[in-house]
Amino acid sequence: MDLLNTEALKKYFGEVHAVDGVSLTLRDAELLSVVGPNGSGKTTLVNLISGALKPDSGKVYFEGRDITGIPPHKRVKMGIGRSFQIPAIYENLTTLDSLLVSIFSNTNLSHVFYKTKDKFEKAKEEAINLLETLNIPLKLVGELPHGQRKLLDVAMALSLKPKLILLDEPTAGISLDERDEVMQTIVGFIRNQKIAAIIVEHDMDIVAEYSDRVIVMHEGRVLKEGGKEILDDGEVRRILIGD
Amino acid sequence: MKAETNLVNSVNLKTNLLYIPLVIVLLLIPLGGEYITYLTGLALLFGIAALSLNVLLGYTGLLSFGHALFFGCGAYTAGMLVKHLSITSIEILVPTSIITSVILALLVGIVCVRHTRIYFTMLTIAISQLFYALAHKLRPITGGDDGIRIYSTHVFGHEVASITEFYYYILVAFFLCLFCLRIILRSPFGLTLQAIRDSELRARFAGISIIKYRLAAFVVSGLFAGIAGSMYALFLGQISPDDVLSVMRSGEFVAMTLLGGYTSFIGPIVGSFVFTYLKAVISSAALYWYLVFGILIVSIVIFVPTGLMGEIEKRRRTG
Amino acid sequence: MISQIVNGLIFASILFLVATGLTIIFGILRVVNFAHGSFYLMGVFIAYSITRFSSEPALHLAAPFIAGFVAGVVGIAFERGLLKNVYGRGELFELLLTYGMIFVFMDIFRILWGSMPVSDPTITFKLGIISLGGTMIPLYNIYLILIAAVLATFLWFLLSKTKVGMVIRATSFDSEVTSAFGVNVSWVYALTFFLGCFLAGFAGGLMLPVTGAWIGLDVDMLILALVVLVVGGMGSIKGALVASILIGLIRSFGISMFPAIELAIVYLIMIVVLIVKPSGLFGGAEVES
Repeated sequence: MDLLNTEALKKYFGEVHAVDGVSLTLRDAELLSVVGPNGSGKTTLVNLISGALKPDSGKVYFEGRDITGIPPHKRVKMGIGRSFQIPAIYENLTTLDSLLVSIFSNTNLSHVFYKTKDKFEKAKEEAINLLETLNIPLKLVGELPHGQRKLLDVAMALSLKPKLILLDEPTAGISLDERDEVMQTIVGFIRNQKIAAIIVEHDMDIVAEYSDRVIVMHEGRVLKEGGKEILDDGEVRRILIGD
Repeated sequence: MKAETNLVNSVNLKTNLLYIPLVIVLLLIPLGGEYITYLTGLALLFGIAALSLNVLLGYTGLLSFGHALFFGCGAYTAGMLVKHLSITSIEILVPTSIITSVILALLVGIVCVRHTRIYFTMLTIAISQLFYALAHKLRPITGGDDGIRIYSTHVFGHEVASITEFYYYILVAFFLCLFCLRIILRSPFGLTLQAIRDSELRARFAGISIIKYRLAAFVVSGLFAGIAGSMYALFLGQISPDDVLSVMRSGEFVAMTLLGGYTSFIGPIVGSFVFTYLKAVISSAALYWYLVFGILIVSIVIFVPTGLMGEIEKRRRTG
Repeated sequence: MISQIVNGLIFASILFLVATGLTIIFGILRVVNFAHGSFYLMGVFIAYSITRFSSEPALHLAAPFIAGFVAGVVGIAFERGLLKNVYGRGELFELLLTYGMIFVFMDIFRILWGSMPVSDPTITFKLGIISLGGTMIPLYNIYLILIAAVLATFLWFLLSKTKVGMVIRATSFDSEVTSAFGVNVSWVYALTFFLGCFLAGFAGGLMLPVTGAWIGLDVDMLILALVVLVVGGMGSIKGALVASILIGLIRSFGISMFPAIELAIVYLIMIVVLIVKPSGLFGGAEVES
């Protein structure tokens, strides 16, 4: 069974056909990259899958279940995590606490008013391990440099132990020489944990390096789908370079 | 430890020990005479109210300008039970106030927490003003403008004889509230509220149902304000809509919280003490209290937005 | 009946002027000016001081304009001197700063004008009374409603037909882009504050002969202006007009028909609007997701 299916997803913003009938499938532990010029509907697609937006028509299935009408926080509980282009992080918390928020939420402890020591020690250990694996220092979030803010954003999604993670431009704003390192850290972890991922990315080298399969979007539609080799396709190149 | 986590397991024993002299001073306050005892009692009660307000403001990121509603709910619950049913036992009045405040906070909260920012603030003003107007006009029930007088109160059948005695009940209630709120705010629940405050978007995508948590914060906040209001009514022996339900009173709670520092747990208490004593000193010297109060707020907002405790904690952290 | 309508319209006119000032300031600076009631009260007090000089009707008719101008200048001083310092720190601090100013003004008024209510109905007597369908109405009250209507029209013209209005509207839309086009956004903010506070002070001046002033009226006026702001839609002048008339008439009829709960009804309307349509009756964007 496929992990994720979308069926003719459509989302229009007035006259703009942001996503215009996208159907895709994703298998367990597969890394799918979505590429395309600005405004081709990549982020809208991620928003539709994560539940941040409701489609005008079409369906989203996760593990065979129709989740089209399910609100985002419940999709998270089902195993869909996501990161954001502009990191959505807790400025006044520490990196450790940031991950704890996710871990408590995932283990249904968020509502707890008091503390039972063993459970919290376990959560803390888990959070510290993840911070170490991803090379995120233990400090106030507001004091982190940009690259680590992006990484923390991803880490908060990963600490939910998702089956699928949606990465919306994980390297945006990160300097060229740091990109590879960031992606290696993230993808290494994802591969290791056998998490499936949909990666929206601009950097074609990164796409070529880290994905199993590629989808090229143009004006809200899937233009081409296949292995990395489609990046060398003439039409695809023209569209991407025209960007 | 501070930089690591806000959770219970990192509470620093040393900073807790620092509070012991303060506790001793609070215990000895009645030696300073009746007036000082009375003022300190007020400061403690306003401290609970401001602390409860800060559950919303500092921890959840919602500015309520109608918090007197819950303070007033507690006060009027106690007052009306005395007036209509002649119940004067604190052990019945305060728990009943808790129940009514929680119910009110739940109902008002359901309406308010769907909104944030200025819309939330406006709603809290509107709803508290509605109850303020009703308290004014429903004279047979609430006593109208004159409010309600409470002549005597009892604890387990024993009549409370003096301000000093009541002061110690307030002190007990204060430490209980402080203890409970500290545990609540340092729990995963408290951490989750702070997460929602900093990034609603991320919290939602961490699987948190934002509305439910805001509502829970609203109810916790209303509950403790209700306790403060209830004890306030019994301590003063008199309540009126202008005193306990007005937007001015709500504003004072905001001012205390701001003054002491909304980023700090005990900030609102520091604020309530500074506020209460300063007001007493300036008013008794026949000076212009409002002018001082206004200038104080304006200066805090411009120069030390994180308040007294926020500033102290910042200096302590940086060296 | 007619006197209730006239009273309602007087109240509506004043509310409209005050709330429009509030709504313009919110529309452009995104600040809810809690001290707005204080500028209204300042207007009444200044008009009172002006009318001490002589009982000449022309002076009494001019007083609201002078009062409005002074309030406007104080408004600019407040915006440039204090409020400017907290821009960008979030609406919490802007709100609290204006909240603090309520108290500063309150005691300054007390120092300058004392704690007793002031009023001066000279002009009402001089202008006399006319009969409207058998009901005797002071001519001044009619004048008050008309001048508010004229001002409303003028505002509409200023904002929708002139270059100044275009710049103001552009700034409310996107201050960064506007400043990129060479507009001095600081001046737009100052001008906006002048305009908003002028309207409040002018309304106050107009009310000197009708209700006069007392300490405490500032907060009462603020709360009612907030109701209008919310019901009409924050930032909408058209909304302020409709909501003022609505609230004015409800209050006027409410006071005679169900005096006990007329204010409660006003607040209830505000609550219902906030719940059902947080953007207000005529609110545009600026609604949370």
